[in-house]
Amino acid sequence: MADTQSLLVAEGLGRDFGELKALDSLDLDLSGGQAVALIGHNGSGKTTALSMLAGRLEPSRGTVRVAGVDINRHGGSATVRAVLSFIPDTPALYPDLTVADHLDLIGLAHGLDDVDERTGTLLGALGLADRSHLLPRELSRGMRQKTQLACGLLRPYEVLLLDEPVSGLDPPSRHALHMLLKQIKSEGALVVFSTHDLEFARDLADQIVVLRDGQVLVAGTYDDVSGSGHARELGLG
Amino acid sequence: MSTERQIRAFVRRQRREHDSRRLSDRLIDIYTWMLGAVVASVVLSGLVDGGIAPHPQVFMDTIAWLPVVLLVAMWAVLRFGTWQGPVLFSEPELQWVVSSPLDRRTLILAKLKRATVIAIGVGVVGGIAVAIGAAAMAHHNVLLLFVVATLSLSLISAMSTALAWHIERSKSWSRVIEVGTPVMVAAVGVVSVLVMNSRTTAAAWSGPWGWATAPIGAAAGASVGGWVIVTALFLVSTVAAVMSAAATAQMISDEELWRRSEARSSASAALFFGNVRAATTIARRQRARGHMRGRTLRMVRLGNPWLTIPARDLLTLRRNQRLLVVSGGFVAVAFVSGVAAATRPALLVGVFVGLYAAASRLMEPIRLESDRTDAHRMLPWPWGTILVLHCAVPTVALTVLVWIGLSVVGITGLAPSAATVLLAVLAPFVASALVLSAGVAASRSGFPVEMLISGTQQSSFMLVLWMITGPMLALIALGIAAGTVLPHLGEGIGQSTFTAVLFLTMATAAFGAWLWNRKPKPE
Repeated sequence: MADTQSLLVAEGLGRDFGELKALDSLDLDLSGGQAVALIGHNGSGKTTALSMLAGRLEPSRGTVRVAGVDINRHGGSATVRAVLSFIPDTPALYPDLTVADHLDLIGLAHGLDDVDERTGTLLGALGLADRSHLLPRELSRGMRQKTQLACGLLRPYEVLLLDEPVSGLDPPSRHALHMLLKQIKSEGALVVFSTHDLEFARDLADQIVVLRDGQVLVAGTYDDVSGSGHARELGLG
Repeated sequence: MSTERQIRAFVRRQRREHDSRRLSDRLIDIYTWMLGAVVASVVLSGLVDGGIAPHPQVFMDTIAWLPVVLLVAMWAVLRFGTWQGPVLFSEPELQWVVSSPLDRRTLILAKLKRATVIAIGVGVVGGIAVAIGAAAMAHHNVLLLFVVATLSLSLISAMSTALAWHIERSKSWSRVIEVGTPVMVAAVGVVSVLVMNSRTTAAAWSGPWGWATAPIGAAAGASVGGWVIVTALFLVSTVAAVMSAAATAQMISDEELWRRSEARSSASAALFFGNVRAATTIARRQRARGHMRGRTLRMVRLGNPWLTIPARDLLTLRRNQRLLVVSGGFVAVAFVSGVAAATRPALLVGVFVGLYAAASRLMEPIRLESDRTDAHRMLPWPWGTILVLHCAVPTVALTVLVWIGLSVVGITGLAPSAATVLLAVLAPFVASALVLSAGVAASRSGFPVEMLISGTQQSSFMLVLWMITGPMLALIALGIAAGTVLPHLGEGIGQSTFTAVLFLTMATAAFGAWLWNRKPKPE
């Protein structure tokens, strides 16, 4: 039975695509102030897992509860929407709105009082301050990814899910994101992210879940994982 | 043979060799063309024999409007030059041929020549049309008219092509054409006034569109002062335009060629799937070259989170004022039809079409939302709620446009004041029903591609159903409301107005409920 303080609970979570078991069975019981990394090779089930945790993908089996609410039964509920922010790996931005417009939209929609201040901080930290007047099509892939990150981080949340947040980012932006997520974690939010960047995972995550072919291969701290028999295969050895 | 020619001949040969069309496909193509030609010939010979208006003056009156037609056609070609133009390479051509050490000027000149030949072909078709018109309307000198019209129209087509090339290669000229639409509209107005007042000579001197008409008018027997000088001017300017295009053949950047090629691929793909809106968006984006108006405008902070979507839609309208102008135009069409319907009731159709088209244009924000269904997830509301919120600003905008129209017809006395007041009361209810029915249509993303490709009878039926859903919903709502009010314009108007309002509100609520319960299609 999950702890009542748990923010995100997954029990026997799995998803099939036809014959393919994209994710077999994932169990998580996570509370605020934690950072969890999902790592694994391409096709290991990281994005499938995150999409189900975010309620974007219906599981073939198992359940996900966010702040005590079963998101597959009440995925559109105000409670889930209020506490969960998911930042996918593919930027989903409005083609007719500038970077600044996106942040205005989110600030207004979520009723943020200090939207200008927070927007300024995020744009500065992610190196977008001088690009805030640009449309998504005028931005590079990395800049679009940063805009998406800024949007996802601006809104209020208790659970932050990020799918490959550092892919396409340059080293300074990667460092800036690392610092932001560290601060978010210290403020009590739960951060779950997938990545291929083992260094990023090591520096940020309290717990690492290694997936292979939809199976949980090993889970634990970085030391647990790097000390496991799969370290060489994962590039940790 | 030069290397460039060898390369082009090689590509042509390879394409021919790999053309997968079977002989039967080719025969069907030939049969279709021949059938079309036979049908056209029968129709045209019928016109010539029967004489649709066997009076030479009708022909003269018709060709008097040629300067206006040519001005609009020329403008269309120049506008085409702002995003496509006569020199278009495919992406593989740019990647592998244009980027090679081959002489770029030769490659571009080949494209320019091809475009000019096509333009001359269009001129010849125009010449044939003029000759057929002359024969049908019993005008003399058919052969002379054919020769002169063919030459004139071929020359103006070639000149337009040459000018379109200059626009294609020059960002600044392109920008001039892009922002010059009001000037063109004014020019069309001025030339139309000249034509209407039989100022044939002035129209002939007004510009290349008039220069091209002068020899045709003279050949037809019209009195065109100084037509020889005008014709000489026309010849010299056409030769100059074509020569300057040839002389500047290499003066275009790779970036420009790539942008146009990509725009063409995207627009063609969109048109292949019947997505005209996407194709026009691509064209507009290419023409704008990043010049988005009102970029510095910010979203109005309306205080309540629920007003965020209306604030966002207000921003879209402020930046894209063309939407309001076009919608205003449609509302004007509705009012003109409404006034004319007093004597010809069939024109009431124009009222419906104009109002629905205006509502549909104003629903652009909901289409933008439906283009990126995944983006809504950063907002705190479900998809259906967002769709309904998107209807607020268009409803207000359409109501205001209708009120403006009513004020105009009220002040000018084109409609009785009692009817104007009644319609002003009904306007918000009519607008909301129209906007939400247009919203139902706009909130669906494109027609399912798999249905489009399958090409079955069922898919054709579904496509028709898909296209008429919005207008049909609006027609039902407005039809019943109009049927309630119109018979009681004298006595019992209060009761019937109340019934109409009640029905329009119910229709709006039903459309809104449908939108509210929509789920986003998976990305």
